[in-house]
Amino acid sequence: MNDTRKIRAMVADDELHIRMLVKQVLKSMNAEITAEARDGNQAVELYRQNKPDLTFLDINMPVKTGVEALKEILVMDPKALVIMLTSVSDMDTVTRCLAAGAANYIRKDTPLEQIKGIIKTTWTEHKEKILTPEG
Amino acid sequence: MFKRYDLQQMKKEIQEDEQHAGEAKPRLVSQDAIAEMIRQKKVAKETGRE
Repeated sequence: MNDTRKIRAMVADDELHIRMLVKQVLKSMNAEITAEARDGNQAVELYRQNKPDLTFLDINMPVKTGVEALKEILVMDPKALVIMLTSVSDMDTVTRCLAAGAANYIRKDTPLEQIKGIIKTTWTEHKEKILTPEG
Repeated sequence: MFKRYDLQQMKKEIQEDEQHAGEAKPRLVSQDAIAEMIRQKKVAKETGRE
């Protein structure tokens, strides 16, 4: 993540310490959190307002689940780059998220360095489509 | 000589086993397996199978 401008990211998680953790990880990668949501509904609304380059969604959130929020965000913006960051890791949920269009899926119990690696790889693979202006 | 059993503990474990006997346990996916699923999805997309 050595691009000239900072990557604008949004994190949606009802747990404050996870939002803080993601913030820390992204800061060390020259990215910044421009929006924080505490539930799925807020995630969709903040996505609409901020159009972040990269979005992190938890699954188990109040009001609207991360899976529902993922689908709504992708309907609103099919180019949205969304990474699921969650403790939920059953086959059905992982499959549903990837089929719906999540770019990656990270278990919260993954070591921090590995999380950073996954985020970097995902960004590198998709940044062109995010940074290319629509036309 | 004789192995001592904690009857209360045994009873509790049997009750728990009975409670969960009919439940289908969700199959958990490791981070490595998720990476493999994403790799396969990418290959399918590139080869036009998705």
